[in-house]
Amino acid sequence: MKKIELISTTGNSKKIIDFLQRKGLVEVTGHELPEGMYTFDTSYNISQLEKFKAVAQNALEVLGSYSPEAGSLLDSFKPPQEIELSRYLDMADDADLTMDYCYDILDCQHSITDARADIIRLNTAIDSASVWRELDIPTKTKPTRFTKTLIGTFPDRQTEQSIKERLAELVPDIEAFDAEVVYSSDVQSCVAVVCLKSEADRLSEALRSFGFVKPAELYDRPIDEVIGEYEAKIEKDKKEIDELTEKIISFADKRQDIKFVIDYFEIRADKYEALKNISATDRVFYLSGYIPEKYSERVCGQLEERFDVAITLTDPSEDDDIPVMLENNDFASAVEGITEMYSMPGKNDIDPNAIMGFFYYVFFGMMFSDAGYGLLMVIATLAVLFKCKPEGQKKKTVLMYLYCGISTVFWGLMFGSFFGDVINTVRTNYLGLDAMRLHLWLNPQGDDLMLTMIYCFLFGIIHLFVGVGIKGFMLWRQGDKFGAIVDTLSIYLAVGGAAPICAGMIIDIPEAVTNVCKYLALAGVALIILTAGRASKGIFGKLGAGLYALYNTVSGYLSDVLSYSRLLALGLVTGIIGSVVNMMGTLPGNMVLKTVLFIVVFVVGHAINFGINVIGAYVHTNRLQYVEFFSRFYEGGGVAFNPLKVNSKTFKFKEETNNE
Amino acid sequence: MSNLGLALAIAGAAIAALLSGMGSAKGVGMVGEAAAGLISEDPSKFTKVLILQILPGTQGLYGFITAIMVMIKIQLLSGSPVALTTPQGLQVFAACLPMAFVGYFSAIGQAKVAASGVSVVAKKPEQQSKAMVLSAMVETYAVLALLISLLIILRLNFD
Repeated sequence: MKKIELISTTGNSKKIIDFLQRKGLVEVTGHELPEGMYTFDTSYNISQLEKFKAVAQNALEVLGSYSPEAGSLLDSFKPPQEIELSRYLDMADDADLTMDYCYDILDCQHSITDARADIIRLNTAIDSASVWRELDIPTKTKPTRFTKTLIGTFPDRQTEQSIKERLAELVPDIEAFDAEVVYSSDVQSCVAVVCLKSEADRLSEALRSFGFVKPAELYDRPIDEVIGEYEAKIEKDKKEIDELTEKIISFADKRQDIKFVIDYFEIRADKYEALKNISATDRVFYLSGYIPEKYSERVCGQLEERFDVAITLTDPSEDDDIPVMLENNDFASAVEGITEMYSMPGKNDIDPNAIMGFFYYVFFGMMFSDAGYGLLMVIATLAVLFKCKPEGQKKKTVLMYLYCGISTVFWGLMFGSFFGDVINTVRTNYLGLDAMRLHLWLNPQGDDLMLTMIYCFLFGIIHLFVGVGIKGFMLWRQGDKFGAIVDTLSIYLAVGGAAPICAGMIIDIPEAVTNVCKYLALAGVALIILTAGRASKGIFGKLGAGLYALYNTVSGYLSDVLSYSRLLALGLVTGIIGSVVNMMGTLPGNMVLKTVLFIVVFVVGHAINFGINVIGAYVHTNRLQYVEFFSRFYEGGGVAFNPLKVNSKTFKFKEETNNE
Repeated sequence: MSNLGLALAIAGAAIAALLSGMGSAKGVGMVGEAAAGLISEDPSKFTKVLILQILPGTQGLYGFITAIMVMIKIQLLSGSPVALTTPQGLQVFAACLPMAFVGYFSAIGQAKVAASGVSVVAKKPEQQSKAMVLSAMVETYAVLALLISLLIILRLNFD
């Protein structure tokens, strides 16, 4: 990584930033503001661009909900389309037009929401009006010369009989009236009462005393007519929604343009973010940042060719927070994502990916351990690789699963699992043959259970020793040669010596070996007590710290090594469930029924087993790397190299050939 | 022949499947509730939270395996089970206990971490793998318990 400093005329600043962004190889960092210079305040531009981006994203989402985008899972692995710079500039010119489409889409959506709310409101109105359907006069009626009609509701069930009886009690002298119940339920009764105009007030008061209230809305037309009007309005709203929906769908062919403007605004916002970090006077500007060493000359040459610039490249000082860029071959870069998830390598770290990747694939394979499932992974990942040609992080992920799949096939064959024990299931059920030996090496589900576990511990110890070795290498590189040797050697002796003795409890180990190991382990223990506390002061301090380190070593390595038993356990889980699936499929005696059931159970059962165990293998392999392996040596804490680049999902620039 | 031995062995298989299954059911339910809350806000995170939801489900599976292994061991599936003595039946029963109890409690413990993981996904979807790893830490103990139960069951000899 090189530190790059660049000075040019202020007029060139945007062009240079544009150029750097398209190259995507320079991280622009902030610096102390030199005297007499100022910085560009681009916050307003950034917030505007973010706003436009949000509008376009909303519009895209709305468009997607009315006209879902066709596309398969495979498409998501495809790399973005390549476009020329000139095409990009043309499309950028059309950004305003695309934004108009976006606003149109959002307007339509807004109107649709309004219309939907209107329909709900109208439906409620129809519901509340329809209780008056039986009434053949309008609810809002004018009094005649002598009579008046009282319209209202009771909050309970009423009949003509009950109303008349109640009124006879309350106003016995009023007899000239008639009550009609047009609707009645437990919670509401709708009633029309005709009476003499002169007695209307008293009668109405009496009615009110047992719950009679005027309806909230009265109509001067017959109810059927009112409901008819409402229904007509609903029809109109519905038609409007259909039209608007159609209009939104008509924008479906603009989807790519909308995606483009989202990227376009993102790119411009990133650019303004970078502009914040440069300082300028009216005439010149100054930019500082980091550039990977191997690209530095090429990029600087291109910059000098195109612009009037002065560039200095220096080695960054130890105190700087130098960003880290991982660079590996395909085999190791595939697991970079796993390492990045834990932490980027710090200053003293080596890039652990190559070594970690090897163990990652091995352990994943041991845990998934089914040749059939591995084969499916290999086929699926190869199909994606060749059909979609993914790039960048996607390619790394696919490659990681390809290598994991290959390892899974290998361990599946070693442990004798191919879709569980499907080979033997078919042999015994259909071919009338005896079950055969499926495993090439060990049969963890049978006689070799304990032996397999010992091998798991052995692989674990190798894994841990490699970690300790790397730590030793790092110490050596930093100049602590004594520490590098004793720290590594003491662990190798103590753990390496104790392991066969412990294994002897389970399997037979020749006595000669355990005798030698005893002395090796003791030597290691002595070395730990004598040297592990060397940083403490005083002879007793050193010894005390040494004993403490011994305790830590014993308890730490014991639990860490035992932790590798998960290799066996998860491997067993895959194999046993696979076999159980096959067994359940072949339970019936009838050949036809058995075959049908077997096919169904086989497909469904193995799909579930695959899904659950691939997640299990993934998280537990991660755990072995993070907790057991990385804790031996890895410091982490580095900052990922984050260059100013074209952050685009839908397109990428063709490598520039012309000088524009 | 007394059938108590066989009954004890079956009780062991049952309790392994039962407790682990209960723990997983409760755990998957807990994470599911948290996940549903997130999905109501942002349906696009469905796959991410689904994986978190599945995590505490493995204990139920381990209990199931333990039960199946017992059934294979005592040849229950073939229809003519081994004539177990009472001590032998007790051995099988005891072998099932680690998976049964650790399965129950670890599923719930794991579910709590996974449910918190759902809020990680809500705020920082790209950090989903970290939430997965945190949750899987709890599962370690279920794996160890399964291993012990299986080792004992596979090593028992009834000849």
